[in-house]
Amino acid sequence: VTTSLSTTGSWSAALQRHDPLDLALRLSAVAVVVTAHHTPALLIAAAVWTYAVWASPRLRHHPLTWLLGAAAVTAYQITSWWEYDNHVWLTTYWMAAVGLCLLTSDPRRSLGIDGRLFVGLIFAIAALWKIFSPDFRTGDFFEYSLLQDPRFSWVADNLGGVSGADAAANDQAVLELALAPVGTEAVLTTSGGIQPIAAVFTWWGLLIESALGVLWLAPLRPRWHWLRHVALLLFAFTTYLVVPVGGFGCLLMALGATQTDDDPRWRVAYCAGFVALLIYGPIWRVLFG
Amino acid sequence: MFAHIDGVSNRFVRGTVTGDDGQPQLAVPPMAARDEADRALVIPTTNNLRALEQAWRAADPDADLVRVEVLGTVFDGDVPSVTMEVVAAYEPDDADAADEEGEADA
Repeated sequence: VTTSLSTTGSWSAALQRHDPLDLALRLSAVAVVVTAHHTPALLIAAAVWTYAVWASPRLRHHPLTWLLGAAAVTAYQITSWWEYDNHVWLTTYWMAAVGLCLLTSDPRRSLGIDGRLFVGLIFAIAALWKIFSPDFRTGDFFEYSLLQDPRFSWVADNLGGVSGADAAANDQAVLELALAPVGTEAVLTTSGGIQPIAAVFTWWGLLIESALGVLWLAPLRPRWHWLRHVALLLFAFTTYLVVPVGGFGCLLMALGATQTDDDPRWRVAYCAGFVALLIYGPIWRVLFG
Repeated sequence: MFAHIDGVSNRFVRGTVTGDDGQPQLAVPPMAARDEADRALVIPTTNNLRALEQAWRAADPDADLVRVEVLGTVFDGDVPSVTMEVVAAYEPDDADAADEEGEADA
């Protein structure tokens, strides 16, 4: 136990001493691989690129490594751009942003500014989108998702009282509408527990994403910077506990790591979050997927 | 992410073909037209729907395709019921007729 604690302590101390720019680059490179995991060819190319980035400090800190990487990923994705989720494109943008920051005279400061703007704008725009979506505000979006989206089936079953069989039947009923005359109605099986859960998801999502947008874009005094870190880690923990989206989560941890100049303890927190997300995704699929 | 029901995963693409009995039948696009169908799902513009219709005809020349459309999911949480609404539709005959009218006007 003493050895284990000592090992953990030394890891923590090493991370706290680690250059925050270098750490953000390392985490960003791994986030690229995790994001690419849906496409085998891209995954292999990203894994080779990331290995090179981790192995060579010179490559890691060279702007062309990131700019050419972003160009190559864009060239691959652009031919079928509609197949890629928004967070996949976001990772590509971040690769380009990292390359541009490494071109400046003060890459650490540039990456800090870009990282903050990325997180702030991501969540401010996401919160606005939700606020202006009537079916989100009313709770309908999450109620519908809980009733038929397989990613929410564990929550719907164990907390909401809609069994996996009912959710599958709901999904099938919706699919059948695709070949039914317009106006045909399918009534979904639900239970009294679904609407309260949908309300919690809806209002928590609006609250935490609005808070992230404000906290990361507002020019806070340094003594309040901890609020940014707490909000981002809280978002990651509460969101990915229910639906792990590993690529986006890891990218958020890398973005958070760009803000750890003034307090190295957050470096440890973001690394722990990063590793937890990497491990939790496969575990979630086995246990709840 | 997780913002509203009208996302790609809650949209469907389908077409109307004339069956052997002369009656209209609903059908899903052939696999060979998958890329065009996916693109129409994301951005259901007339151009993308026309491209889908052409890819569908190329993949299945025997099908008498009279209409392609993108449907969106409408959910009423009070009931809770689901219906589909037409997000966008393309009918090649209408387009041809419009083109012919345009040529006649010219």
